[in-house]
Amino acid sequence: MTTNGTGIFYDGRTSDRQEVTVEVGDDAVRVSALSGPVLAQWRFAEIAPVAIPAGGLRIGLAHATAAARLEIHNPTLAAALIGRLKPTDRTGLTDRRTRIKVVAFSLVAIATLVASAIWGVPLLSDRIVPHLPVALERRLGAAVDMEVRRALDTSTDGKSFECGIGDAQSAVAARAAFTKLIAHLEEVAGLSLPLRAVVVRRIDANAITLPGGHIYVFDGLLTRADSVDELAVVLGHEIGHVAHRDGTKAVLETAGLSLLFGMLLGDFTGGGAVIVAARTVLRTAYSRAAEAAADEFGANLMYKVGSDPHALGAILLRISGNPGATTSFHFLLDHPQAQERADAIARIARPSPMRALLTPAEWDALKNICAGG
Amino acid sequence: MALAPARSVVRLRFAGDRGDYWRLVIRGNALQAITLGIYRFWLFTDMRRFLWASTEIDGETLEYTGTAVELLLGFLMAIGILIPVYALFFLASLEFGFVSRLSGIVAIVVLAGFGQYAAYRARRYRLTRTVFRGLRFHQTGSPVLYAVRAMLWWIPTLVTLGLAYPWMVANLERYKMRNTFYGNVSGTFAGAGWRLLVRGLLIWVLIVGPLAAGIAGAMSTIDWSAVGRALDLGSAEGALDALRSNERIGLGLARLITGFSGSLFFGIILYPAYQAITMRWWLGGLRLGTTLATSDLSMGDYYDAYLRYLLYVFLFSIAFSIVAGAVLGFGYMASRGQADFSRMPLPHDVFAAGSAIVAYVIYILGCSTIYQVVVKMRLWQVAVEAMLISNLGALDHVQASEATSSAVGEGLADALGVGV
Repeated sequence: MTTNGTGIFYDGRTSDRQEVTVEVGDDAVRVSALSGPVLAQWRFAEIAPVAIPAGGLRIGLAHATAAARLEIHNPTLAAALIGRLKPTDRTGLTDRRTRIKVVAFSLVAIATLVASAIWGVPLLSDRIVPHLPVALERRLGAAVDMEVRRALDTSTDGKSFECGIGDAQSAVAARAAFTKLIAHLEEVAGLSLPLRAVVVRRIDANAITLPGGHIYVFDGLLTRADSVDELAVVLGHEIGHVAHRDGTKAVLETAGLSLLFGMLLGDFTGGGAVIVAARTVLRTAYSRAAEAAADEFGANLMYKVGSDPHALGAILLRISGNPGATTSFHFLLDHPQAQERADAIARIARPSPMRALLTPAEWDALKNICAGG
Repeated sequence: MALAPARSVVRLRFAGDRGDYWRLVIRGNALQAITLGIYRFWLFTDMRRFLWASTEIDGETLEYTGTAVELLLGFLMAIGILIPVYALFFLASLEFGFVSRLSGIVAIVVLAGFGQYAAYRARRYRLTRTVFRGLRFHQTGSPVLYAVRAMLWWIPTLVTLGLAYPWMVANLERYKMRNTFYGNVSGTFAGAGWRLLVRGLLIWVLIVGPLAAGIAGAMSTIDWSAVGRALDLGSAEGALDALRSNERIGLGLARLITGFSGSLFFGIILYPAYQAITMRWWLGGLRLGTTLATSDLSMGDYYDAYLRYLLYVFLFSIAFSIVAGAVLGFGYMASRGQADFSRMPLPHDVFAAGSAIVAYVIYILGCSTIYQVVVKMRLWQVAVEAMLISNLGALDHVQASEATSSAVGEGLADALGVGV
């Protein structure tokens, strides 16, 4: 059965508009010039409709480089032809089936990318970082160090940011005590790069580690430490970060997360909030794992030097103030909670032969390292 | 159907139905949110197909033949190009510590150059996917040369505080149009820089003027003789002290802020005017062989679109707060009544944070949806309907010419956030 009618044909070689006769046959549509010769014969299976405002039908060949087009404005002929084509959306827009497929594939892709973010990124950084040259990590450390110093050094009273510099007798004694403590811990820890630890004038009870072996001990921590063991155990934790090269890992992990959330996912208006939330949750999760590992390293180091690993629990609980307080934003904490950490340490701590790391006089000098100018 | 009668001047027609476009954009944006943005390639493709198909030249519509999968692949390739570039920047900033301060500026310049390169390639992609009467458009020319040209033009434009901008646009458009082909017919661009300058001069004066006056006014409050004396003593610190001790510093600051706010105010108020003037000038400069375009674009239509947008966003905000408030209220009642949050899988703070993010995304995406229809589509329609073409008959017997192009440029432009 064939249906005949007229249409307008562009052959794809010139922009000439040709009036043609159109025959809809059994398996193809045949286009002929009014004068007779056949211009084109398109099989139904190869035909794709093209977007066109309502009221007409425009078709072309699906995979042709030339853009030959047939337009039919006669509704009966158009209907006959549509009936023969494979089911398609004649608006030429993305049809329902494609939409569902795209959404389904996207959800699979998102699940894969989220899984890569949760497990793949930390796994990769754990594998890559040990092979990075120490020299690269030290350069990274130098760059970060400059920024961190600028950010932390808020003192305006003219006192130096670093404590215990200068030739005053107290400063020399304090420096000697600190150096002795660090050197002992460093030797026992067996690190691949030298430590550069300093005490700095900050009132927060904290200590931070940067890539390249930089450790900053804040004065606020020193004043709240009751014994040299409490300071040593925090240092042990920070040395754990150095040994695990956590600073460099964090750089790699942040880059990986930015690639997954930011470049591949989330590029739409309003997507920024989703991205920030996802990155924050994941980065703090990586960080909690690294902190737990550093606690373990610190506890083992304390055991080796003959100090008390439980001191970490004591100082953490004193600093955090309220050990019972919990928050449902637990997943946003970058450190495990103080009580959890103390419990974890208690589980791995073994009885160790106690030895004093510093003499009482040395400990006194060190505690007052920031008292001078 | 009889051949159209002899045509002298043809006005373009916009044949799209606004309701269809609303549906397309709302659905597309919802799917974007669900797929965290992956659906955008399909949405953009549909938007282009719609806009192209709605643009009617003497009874014949344009056709967009690009596909979403091409855009997706182009985007992935662009990511592949950009990751090494970003890594290089990172390593360079470590390797050359002393230029690490500079590396930010270098990165901006390099990425801006990339952006121009991408924009040119993206234009080629779109042209080769544009079909009119069975023939494709295409674009020749080097995207690298174009990027270099565009970056160099920014120097005089910045030095002259934007006065050279019209010549920059004219020059870049000439480059683009003389490399633009419909079949074997090449285009040209006839818009002159000075014409754009004349039409936009008032805008330039109103934006640059207040800021310049503010700076000049602030300078006049400085006691230069005191600064001079301090400089004579050979100390920059002293000069700064002299500046600081000046009691009229408050007045100077006030003038500076007034000038800046004035510029900002005029900048915002006159933005649609600037867009309309540039668009009208651009449309009037387009030539394809001996076929030429003119335009009677009205500035009022541009203001109309933006005011309508503000109105719609206002109404949407009210509706959104009512719905969000109701949901919040029910949530609160549920939390006091039956619902036991301690038994829920997620603690209720997490639930609250999650719903805040969802609400934010819905609101922002809603505003963006309104913008895409009320401003973007409307401005397309306005520009199309304001376009008159003379000597269209010269395009009746054009020969085809082979050309295709990959979508990497589009992908780069997408990844870099270059508006396309």
